[in-house]
Amino acid sequence: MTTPFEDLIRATLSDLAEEAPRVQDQLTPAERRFRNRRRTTVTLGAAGVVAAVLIGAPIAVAAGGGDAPRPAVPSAPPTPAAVSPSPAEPTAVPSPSGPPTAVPTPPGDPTAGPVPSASPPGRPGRPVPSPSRPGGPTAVPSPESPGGGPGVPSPWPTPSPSPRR
Amino acid sequence: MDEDDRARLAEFVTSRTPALMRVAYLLTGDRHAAEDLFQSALARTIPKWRTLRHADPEGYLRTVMYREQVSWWRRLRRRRETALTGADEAVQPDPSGGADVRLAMRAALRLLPPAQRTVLVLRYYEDLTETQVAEALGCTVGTVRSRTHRAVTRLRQLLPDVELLEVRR
Repeated sequence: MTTPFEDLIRATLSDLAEEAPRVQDQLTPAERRFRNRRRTTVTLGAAGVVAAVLIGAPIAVAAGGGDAPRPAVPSAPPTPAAVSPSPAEPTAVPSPSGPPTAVPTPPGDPTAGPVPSASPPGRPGRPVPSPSRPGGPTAVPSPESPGGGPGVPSPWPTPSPSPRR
Repeated sequence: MDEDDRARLAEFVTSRTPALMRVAYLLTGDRHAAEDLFQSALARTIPKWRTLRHADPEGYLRTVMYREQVSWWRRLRRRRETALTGADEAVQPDPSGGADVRLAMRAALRLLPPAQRTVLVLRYYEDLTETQVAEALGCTVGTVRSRTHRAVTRLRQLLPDVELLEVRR
């Protein structure tokens, strides 16, 4: 069932189709288009990969660089109470191989003033209790500090400077 | 593609170019646009030729042409290249004969959007059913119906005197 209007559309389209241009050899330009198209696709794909690498590599390095050990956190600075001179008794035994530690000196040397044992600035050494003989002096945090409050309890013994010989 | 494949492709293109160019011309309404559409569709068909040569290469090529004509990218490019030609000017109906009616209809067809024009070509020139048109364009049957209805309505709006002229004729 077609209306006259649809018949008119059909007739017009048929007339138009008869006026279609006659063309020769459409294959050659089509092949040229195909090659250009493929070249463009490959170029854009390579450019996309390069862009993805350039953008993603720094992000990946930043995100995955956690294998290295974290930088050391500086330990809590020694409180004045902890470094206050306590000339009373030697507290630490020098260990021959360890880092500089508190040096025990016999008390009562009149020529030497109480000087805290030197340790590298910026990285205070920890007193390392060396294996000592039974009954020998051991590293003991000095609880008494003249004029100061009780220090912050620390899991490590704090050095107690003693007068140098 | 080896020599045998290329020879078969060349033979296919040579034998089917006139019919396919007619469809391309109906779809676009312009000679250069028709050539461009046909070459674009052929360029998309060439990489598939090995798998298509034993199947239905013409059907594939036609489907590519239909879909290329209504594609978004082609519409964008066409909008940039829009040029008014003399054929786009409105034709005033002249009751002296039937040619003016067809000229007016031709001018009205040019004013249709590509999607509506494509549906009309497939329905009234290729004589495809609505289901076949929907398969060719990759849309639903309802979309085909609505586009056809809108296209015919638009043509009636553009040619209000056509039915009067037909009665008079």
